[in-house]
Amino acid sequence: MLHDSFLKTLRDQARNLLTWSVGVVAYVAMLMAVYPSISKSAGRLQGYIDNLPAALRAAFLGPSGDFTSPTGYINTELLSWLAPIVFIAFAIGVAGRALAGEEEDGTLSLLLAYPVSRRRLVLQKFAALTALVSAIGAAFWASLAIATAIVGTPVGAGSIFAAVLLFTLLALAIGSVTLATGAATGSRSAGTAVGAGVAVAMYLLNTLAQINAAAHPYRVLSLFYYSGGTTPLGRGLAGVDVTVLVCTTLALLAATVLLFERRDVRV
Amino acid sequence: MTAAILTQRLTKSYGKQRGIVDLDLEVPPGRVFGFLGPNGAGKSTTIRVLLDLIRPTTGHASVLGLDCRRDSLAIRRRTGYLPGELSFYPRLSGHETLRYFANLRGGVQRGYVDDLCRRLDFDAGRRVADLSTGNKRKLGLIQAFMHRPDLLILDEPTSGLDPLVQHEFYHLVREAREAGQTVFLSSHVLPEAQRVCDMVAFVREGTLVAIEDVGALAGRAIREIEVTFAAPVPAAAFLGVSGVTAVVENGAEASRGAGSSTLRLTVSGSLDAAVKKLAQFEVVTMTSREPDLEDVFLALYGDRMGHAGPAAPGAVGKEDAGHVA
Ligand SMILES: Nc1ncnc2c1ncn2[C@@H]1O[C@H](COP(=O)(O)OP(=O)(O)O)[C@@H](O)[C@H]1O
Ligand SMILES: [Mg+2]
Repeated sequence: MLHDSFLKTLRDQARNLLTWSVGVVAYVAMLMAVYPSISKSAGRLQGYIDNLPAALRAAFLGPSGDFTSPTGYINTELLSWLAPIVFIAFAIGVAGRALAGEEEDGTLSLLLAYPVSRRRLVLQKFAALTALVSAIGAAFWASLAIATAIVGTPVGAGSIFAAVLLFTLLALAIGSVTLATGAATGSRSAGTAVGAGVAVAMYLLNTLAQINAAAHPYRVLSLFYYSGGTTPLGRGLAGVDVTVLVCTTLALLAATVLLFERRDVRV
Repeated sequence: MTAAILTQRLTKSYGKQRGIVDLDLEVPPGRVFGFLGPNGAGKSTTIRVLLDLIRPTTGHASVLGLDCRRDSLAIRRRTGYLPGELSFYPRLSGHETLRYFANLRGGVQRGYVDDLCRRLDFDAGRRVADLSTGNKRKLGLIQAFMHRPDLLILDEPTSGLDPLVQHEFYHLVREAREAGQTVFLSSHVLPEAQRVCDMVAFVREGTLVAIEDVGALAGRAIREIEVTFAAPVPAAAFLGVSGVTAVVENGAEASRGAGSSTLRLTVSGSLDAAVKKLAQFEVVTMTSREPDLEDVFLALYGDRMGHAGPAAPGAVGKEDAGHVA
């Protein structure tokens, strides 16, 4: 695992990845374990939800206001906010450490005195980020697919896969914001702050666009719009969603290379 | 033969802060070249430009005949580098660190790495986090030497090394020269450079002061002698004494103008004349030490640096007021 910077980054992150994966699997298992009892009291609960003000309902449950169907439950409890937070927080953490972290630790000066081009280092760090976020995605997808199968809810593994893939791509895009900022500034905290700031702003924009007609047209500016917003399950995989998320990431990756190649490395 | 290192009017500014200014340096191949200067002189800045870690503001630099910007990868393939500020991955062991770096290089002989570890008495089984500064320095040296590069760029290699290891390091440097490698090392202590280098360049405040053959320097060795007398002695008594390049009144009564019970003499070359002159007074104590680089510069190149005051040979000076009080 010390063959190159890609594998070394995976090795460095192995324990971190394991911690996050265990958390994800445990949360999914717990949530699906209580689903049968929720669905039994479905009528009462849905009645309560239907009486909530429309704006509040839309903000938390999406336009459908569906909470008690399997799809609605998983969307509300897992995919509307928790999954994006997990994916994005993990991606930002890894991306912040990737370049700016090495620079702050002082190991970058020695690393770049080796015959490794800056472009190659960026690509290897990005490849590691992709692999790690995908691994979280795989853990999430597998645990949810298995849990829904056990509980006997009619949500297909394919539809879960589509939602998880969109989250993975979303997290990679936000992680790339952190990577680019870290590469440009050499500061891990700057990368983390900008990545998190962009994520929160885009999340709020997308949520606002669902309940406010004036904000509605601007939803296309939010990456959350393309990852399915608050109701990712059942959205399916649309070419445009994938294209926007992937292209955003690639543009940020190109920016990272350019910014990193021009800079003075700090001592 | 192409120079191992060649810089032309190389300038690096950090915003308003000076790094180096119009530095012209030529390091011939196959030599051990000392890059000497006090802290903040611009040694690390120069070295980091050579490795393309930072970019020059103006000017040009080439290493092994290759352009530092365009051909940096080719340069780095043939260079070993010990950074002045050295950091490794704390969770890796010495072995793992060396394996990682060897993989990034390719073509490193395992046996030679083990050999280096043994010679520097480095325990590669320990985690980097548990290593002392000196041991980290050893690890830094091993990774710089391990692929037998054409050029070794070592930024203050012996700082933090204990004397025994320093000794082995000097051996390594001589072996490298015998094998035809070029060694470029920075230092802020002259005796060390005199010990291992064939040539030294003096840099101060970002500019090159002089380049000398170490052989030529030896006859002009600079010493600093501090003498305490039983009674105040005027500094002027030592003016014109052969070899004495500066006298500083250093005692508590220095400001009163009646001489001083402590004098600090800077002597170049033979001590004979100065000692014979000292014998005319009642000497209580006498200590001799290696002067710091700044004093060496003043003694050797005071005129060249356009320095006012006690720079000229034989000048008499007083310590800064604050020091005297
Ligand atoms: N990253 C930096 N930002 C601002 N000033 C710097 C930076 N690095 C070095 N300097 C300044 O440049 C000068 C030369 O520093 P350096 O090359 O580290 O000297 P040396 O290695 O000879 O001790 C010093 O005055 C130092 O303060
Ligand atoms: Mg330095």
